[in-house]
Parts: sequence; structure tokens; C-alpha cells
Amino acid sequence: MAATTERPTPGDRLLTEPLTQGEPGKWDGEFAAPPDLGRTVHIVGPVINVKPSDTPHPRNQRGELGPVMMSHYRNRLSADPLARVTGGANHAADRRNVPTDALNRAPKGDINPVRVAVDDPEAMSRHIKRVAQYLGADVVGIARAHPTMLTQGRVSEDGTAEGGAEPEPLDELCRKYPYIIVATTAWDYDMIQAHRHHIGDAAYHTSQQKANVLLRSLEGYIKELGYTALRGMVNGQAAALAAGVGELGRNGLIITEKYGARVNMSQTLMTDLPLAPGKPIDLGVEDYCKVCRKCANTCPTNSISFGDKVVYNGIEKYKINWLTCYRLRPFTHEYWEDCLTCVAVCPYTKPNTWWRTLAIKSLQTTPIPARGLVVRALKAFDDRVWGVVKQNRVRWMGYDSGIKPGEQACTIEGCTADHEDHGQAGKVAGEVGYYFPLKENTNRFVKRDKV
Amino acid sequence: MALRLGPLRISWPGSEPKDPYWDAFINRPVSDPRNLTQEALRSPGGAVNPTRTDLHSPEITSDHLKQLATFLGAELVGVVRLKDTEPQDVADSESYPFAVVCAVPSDYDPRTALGIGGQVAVRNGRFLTFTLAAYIREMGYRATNQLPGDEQRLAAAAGLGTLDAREDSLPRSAGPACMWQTRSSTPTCRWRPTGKRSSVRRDERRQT
Repeated sequence: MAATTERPTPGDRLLTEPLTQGEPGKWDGEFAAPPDLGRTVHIVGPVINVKPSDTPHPRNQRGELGPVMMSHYRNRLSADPLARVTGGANHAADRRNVPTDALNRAPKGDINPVRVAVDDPEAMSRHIKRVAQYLGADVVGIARAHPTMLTQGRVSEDGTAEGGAEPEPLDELCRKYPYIIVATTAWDYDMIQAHRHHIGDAAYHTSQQKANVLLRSLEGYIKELGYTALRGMVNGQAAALAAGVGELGRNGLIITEKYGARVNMSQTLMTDLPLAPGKPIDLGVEDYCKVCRKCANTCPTNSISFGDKVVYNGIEKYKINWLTCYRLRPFTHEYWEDCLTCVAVCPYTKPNTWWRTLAIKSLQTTPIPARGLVVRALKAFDDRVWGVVKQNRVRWMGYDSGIKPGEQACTIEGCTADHEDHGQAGKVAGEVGYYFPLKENTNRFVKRDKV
Repeated sequence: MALRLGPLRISWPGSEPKDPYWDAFINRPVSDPRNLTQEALRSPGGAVNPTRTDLHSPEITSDHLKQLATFLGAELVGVVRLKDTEPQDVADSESYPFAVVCAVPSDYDPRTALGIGGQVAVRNGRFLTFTLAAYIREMGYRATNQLPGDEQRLAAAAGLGTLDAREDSLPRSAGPACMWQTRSSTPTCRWRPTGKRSSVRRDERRQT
């Protein structure tokens, strides 16, 4: 693998300015060696821990991405009432209507002074995984904490990076709270077929809300066991890789064995509860992403690279251009909130059926040097049977992706309402879904990177 | 011990190791109630959006609310007009003419299982009713989840089942269920469950 080092271009500050500033941390003793993150990501140099205030949303909130983006983030009311409730609190008519806002405002409980003794960390790990699943998690893993996985300070639960910096050195924190629990939810498969549509938004946002409820419950349970649970300290993707939840794809998302790329990878819990950490897994993502490039081909903003991995901030990985991805939003907010194209088109994102399991197992069990052939065969089969991009017509709760963007029609059979803004029920024939914008529209203002 | 055949792993019945902490997870009462997530979801939520969303006809709006409730975790959903219930709830029916009643499945009886695990159905019910009421308010109609507990009576009126002899629980085929209600002013109509699932299929079920 020929990795190249990304260099900022002078004068292009916003596109190239790294999300990380400052000096890389120096770790010794047990943390001298970088953590094992599997085949898709390697730590090859010194890593500067990201400050929560340098991540996209806080930067946008401060106006660093320009007034249009800031206004879009801070002042916009979502066009869709369900997105107002389940999306970010900034986009609701009243932020108190958003469940996450209610959760964040509620006081947190104390740690139970009577600590449950843990003699067997393996048994406790099995228990915590079972508990997380019972509380609503679709994906659970446990990682050993390493300072390179941590952020410089705490991200608050609403993602705004408020709440001040953690005063303790990061290696000290990892000694005090040596385990990270990754527990999260998956998006509904059928609904994200209507990506770039309010239906896809509903799947994404609702599972985010459910993940928040789940993490809050799990945090409460760990406190009831008599141990500490810290949220917002860890880069969720790094922990998910180390825990064996999945591998990092070309689309910059964690690809899991059961759900593909359709999982939230938001916050994690850092704890001193004695647990047994997992190991990175090999799903063949490294081999598949080298060949496939489906996400890069279909990304409406050309934010996904066609090229090889790059070394960025000491980490070798596929790096997406977060800014061009982010910048499309003000142009599309009438039609959708979150794009999700790279999630929906990923060949790993398929219904959880026997043939999907068979394809992954066949790739996993093939020796690495021979995997290229298997990947090409699987990709050809996927393109032929599944298509490059599915344009399904999806109908859910009165939403209908068969209505062309910009047009208004009520397609519900039997609806007798006098719709003021678009007249009586319209007729939409066929099973084709329309998803705004089309690739050719965005090619005009977002240049594709060189292959 | 499990039998391993390559990537296959077949557990012998009863061979999975016992979970020594499970009973406490389900039954041990919490030391601090703030560690229960449902306490955080007690909030009355925000105000009604002054701009109303264009709605479909009442029958279809009822069906959409049912689809949303099912998507959020309800097993059964019914809509009842409060004026039709016995005894009539006149005072409330003026502000909130309709009640959306949801049954949330529960593996344990939350009245006796006081641990965080035993209270999961309560948490799910609060999340469901909070979100449903908030959605109705964001559409520009009045809705509340802050009401006294007469869910069983309303559930029977909505056709979700019939009350048992003690009139305090609605029999369900498998295990106890938690009943929740959201009252609303959204133009809906009485809606009886038909057993039809949401139009969007769920391709997998969680395994616990």
C-alpha cells in the first residue's frame, strides 16, 4: 500500500486546515506502542489528540465555516416536523421538544457507594454486552483505552464541546478508566434506501435518539454497580476498531459485520469497571474498499477519495473531505437533512440475510493474497444483482420518495383532506424513487479529486 | 462449551455460562433514582409550534401516528376519542379530544422488577410518549404526555384488549405489557389495531 502524506495547500485554509492543533502527545510505558486498530487503520506517527472545539459542529457554531453554514446550523427550522423532533435541537420550533435535550438537561445520578465485586472480568464483559443489548444496543464492543483514542477535553452530550477540558493527562485517564464500552444502534435498512430523503433522515435521527437513551441507561447501570462511567472523552471510531465492532471503510464509516455501514458511531463510555477487551476483526473491508469505490462514485459532493490511503495526523487511513460533505447541507435542507448515500450504497449495507453472511464469511476465510479475486467476483455480482445505486420508491408515514423533489402531491389512497398548498391527491406511477440532488448537479460546484 | 465447525458456533442447550449479575440488573432497586433514564424523560417537553403542518384526513393521520409509535417501539397502538369513553372525560376532552394509547412489550413486570433492567419497558414507554407528543406539538397541535394513569381503561376503549376482573391490567398473549398514552388535539379518528405492521419491514430482530 503506497500511502501518501497530505499537505495543506497555501491559501486554501478551510479545506485543508486540520481538525487538530497543538503538539502530539508523548506516551510511554504501557502506552508507548500504538493500539492495534486492525487492517484498515494504522497509527504510523505521532498523533495530536483532537480538541472537541476543533470538530466540525463547534467550528460551525463559532462561524468559522462562514455565515451561511453557521445560519444553517444555528437558526434553521427543519422543513419536516419529524426531523424537528428527532434531529438536532437547533432545528426544532422549541428545543425542549427534542428527547436528547430533555436527557441532557436532567440531572445525573451519583455512583452507588456499595461497589459490586467483579471476580471474573470475562463474565462481567458478557454481562455488560447482554445488558447493552437488552437496553437497545444493536452493536456492542469493549476496547482497551489508549491515549491516542482520546479527545483533548470532553465533548458534551449534545455534541457542542461545552463543559470544559478534562484537567487530567490523557495517559493518566487511561490508567484510571482502562476500558471503553462501544454500544450503539443501527439504522433501519428499508428506510435508509430512501437516503437523501426525509425517510432516511427519520431512520438516522431516531436511532441517534435511541442510542442516547441507551448510553444514558448504560451509564446509570454502571454507576449503580459502583463504578465510574465517563461520556464524551473518546473518538468512537478508534474505540470501535479496537473493540472489534468493525473496520473503517473508504467512506470514513465503521463497517460492521451484521449491519454494514448503517450504524451510529457517536459516543462511548469510559469506565473503571473491570472488563475483558475485544480484538480488532477482519471483515475484508481493507480488500473490498481497494477495489469497490462505489461510495466515491456516488457521493454527491465528491468528498470520498478514489485514491489510496493517506497519512493524516499520524494515522494511515482513507480520509474523507468532511468540509465538502458538510457544505452541501444548506442547499438541500428542503428535501433532506443528512445525505447517507455512502451508507446506503456500501455493498456491506445489505439486509441481514444468509447470503450476506455467506459473502462476508467467504471473504474472511479466503487467504489475504487471494482476496482480490474474491472481491472482484463479489463486486461484479453485487453490481449485476443489486445495481450500482438503487433508486427504490419508499413510502412511510405519508412520505413518498416517488414524488419528484420540488413537486407536491399527496399520494395516499383514500386521503380526502383539502391540502391547501398542493391541492388534491396526485397520481404518481411507477416504483422509482427520486433523490435530490443528482450527481451531475453537484459535479458543477464540487470538483472531483484526481484519481 | 459450544461446538465449533469453522465459522459456525453451535451452543448445546443450557451450555451457555450463567450470568451471575442478571438478577440484580432486573430486580435490585436503584440507589439513586436519577440513574433511571425514565426520570429524565418525565419532562413535559416544549411549546406548540405556532405554524401548523398540513395534515391528511383523520383516518390517515391516525394510521401515521400508529406507524410512528410502532417504529418507536410500541407493540399495539390504538386511538380513542375521549368523548366516547366511559366514564366521559369531559374536562380533558376539550383540550385534548383524542388519546393515543400504546402498549410496550415487557419481559418483566415493572411494578415488581425495580432494577434498571426491570424498568426498561417504562423507559421505552416514556421515550415513546415523549417523542409522540413532541411530534404532534411540532406539527402545531396540542399534545401532552403528563396525564394521570388511566391507560388501562383507555386501552380497553381503544380496542387493545379487555380489562381483567381487577380492572388493573390488560391481558396480553405473552408476558406483561406497559400501557402509555399521549393525548392530543390532532384531528384523528378512532383506530382499532388490526395486527398490521408498519409498511416498512424490519429485517432483523434483536437477540438478547
